[in-house]
Amino acid sequence: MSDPVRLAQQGDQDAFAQLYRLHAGRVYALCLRMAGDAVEARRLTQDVFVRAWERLGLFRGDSAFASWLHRLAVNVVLADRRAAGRRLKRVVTAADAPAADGAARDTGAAERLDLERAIGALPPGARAVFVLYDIEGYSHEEIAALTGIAVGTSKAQLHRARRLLRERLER
Amino acid sequence: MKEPREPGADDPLLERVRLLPRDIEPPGDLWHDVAAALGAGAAPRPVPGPHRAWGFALPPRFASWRIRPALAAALVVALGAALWLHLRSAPAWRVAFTAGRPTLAGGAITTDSASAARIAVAGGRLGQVDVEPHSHVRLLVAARLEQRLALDVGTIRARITAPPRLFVVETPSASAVDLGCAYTLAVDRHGTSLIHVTLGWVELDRPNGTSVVPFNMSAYTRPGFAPGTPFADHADAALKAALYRFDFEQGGDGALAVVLERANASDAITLWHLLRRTSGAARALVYLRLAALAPPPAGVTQEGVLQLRPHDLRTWWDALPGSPGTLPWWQRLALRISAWLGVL
Repeated sequence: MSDPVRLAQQGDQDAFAQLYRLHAGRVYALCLRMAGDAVEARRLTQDVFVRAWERLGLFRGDSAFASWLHRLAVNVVLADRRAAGRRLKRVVTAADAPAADGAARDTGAAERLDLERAIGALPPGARAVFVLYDIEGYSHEEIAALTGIAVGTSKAQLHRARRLLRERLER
Repeated sequence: MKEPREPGADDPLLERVRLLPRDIEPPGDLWHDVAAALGAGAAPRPVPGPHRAWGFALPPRFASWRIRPALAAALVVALGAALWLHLRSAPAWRVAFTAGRPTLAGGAITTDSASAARIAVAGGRLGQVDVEPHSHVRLLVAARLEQRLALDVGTIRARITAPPRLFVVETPSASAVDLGCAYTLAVDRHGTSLIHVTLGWVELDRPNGTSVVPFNMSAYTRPGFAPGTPFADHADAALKAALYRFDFEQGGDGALAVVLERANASDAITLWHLLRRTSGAARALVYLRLAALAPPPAGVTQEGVLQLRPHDLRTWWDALPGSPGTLPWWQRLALRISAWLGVL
């Protein structure tokens, strides 16, 4: 187990800050794409790291810390999505799509920004499956287990997401 | 974390997806928010040892057996097989009317003053939930690895035999995560809830805090606040009132002083939770009172506790009177079987 992880498990916040610096970009990218909204992504990223701090004792070093944190982030985002379903349904517009902040600073920025916006404008269910499958590399079986939908539904949502993205990007 | 799939070379969309950055720089001041949340008392949480992941511990003498590895492996295989058989399919929840005619619509159950219902979780394999009159319950997720419902208002009585963390009840003020237990959960029209645990224990979760409520204890939750501090059923009335003021009404040091003064040995779990909800001199006072009522075991230091070191908090938690870890293994097993058979 790496030193910062061990030190953070002992309550060392400086070590945890180091872990944050190493992994915040990856977690924020996931939250931003799953939520489709920069404000929500900020809140979710904070939740993920607070949860990680609270649950560090559960991390036994059986896998890489990055993998453990990533799975925790996916679970936090999906749990929040379920809870949000009970609250006021929020319509995600293209204007809410992931901002250009860090995603589009380098070459191909405009194209990436278009794609990020298009992903952000997908319906929530289709967006979640698309992000988990095509960007994060989860299988349909894993997505089904994580989200509680059927494997067939996951495949259908992916198909729908890709179709919508192609239509939007071809306009 | 997985690597993204190699896209088809002839698919422009997937080729563009492949070029998306894996990292996006978060707002520069986000760490300050995270650090503030950590500083508000959310310390690394003590974790039950692996020997009690299923809610009951092996007798201590087993630990010295030379066959421990083989025994552990056999147990894992047996439990794994039992779990697989138990969960190989997740049948839909069944709802039976136990009084009057509750309304069923859109995955929600609504009872009036004269009606009640019983939900068989995963067809009864994972337990049952009684929905009392004047309640509104929504079924959110019924999957193999997750069973989740929402209690918007009213009262439910749950007897759950599912593995820990599989069954969750969302309320307007917290998530009640089953850790192998039976409990009553009530939510009023303002979203305030009260949970009373009669077997095992329940974790109350919010992003800003967590409470672990063992059997024979209760806890309040209120929207916008971290979950309340658990208190024993037979705790002093003045202690309970002061605890509520401390948790939800900015009772501060005055309320804390009443709690500390009125606490006795059966309130050790309450005081243990307060260690993480206080700071500075207040935390030191909590430590001293808890140490007087339930002396810290070997290896637990005052410095470690005051700094909220996970090892110290976890070790002390395991030794506290009333903590789930202190029940003899046979008693845990008997309770679990009783719950399984619906005796409790």
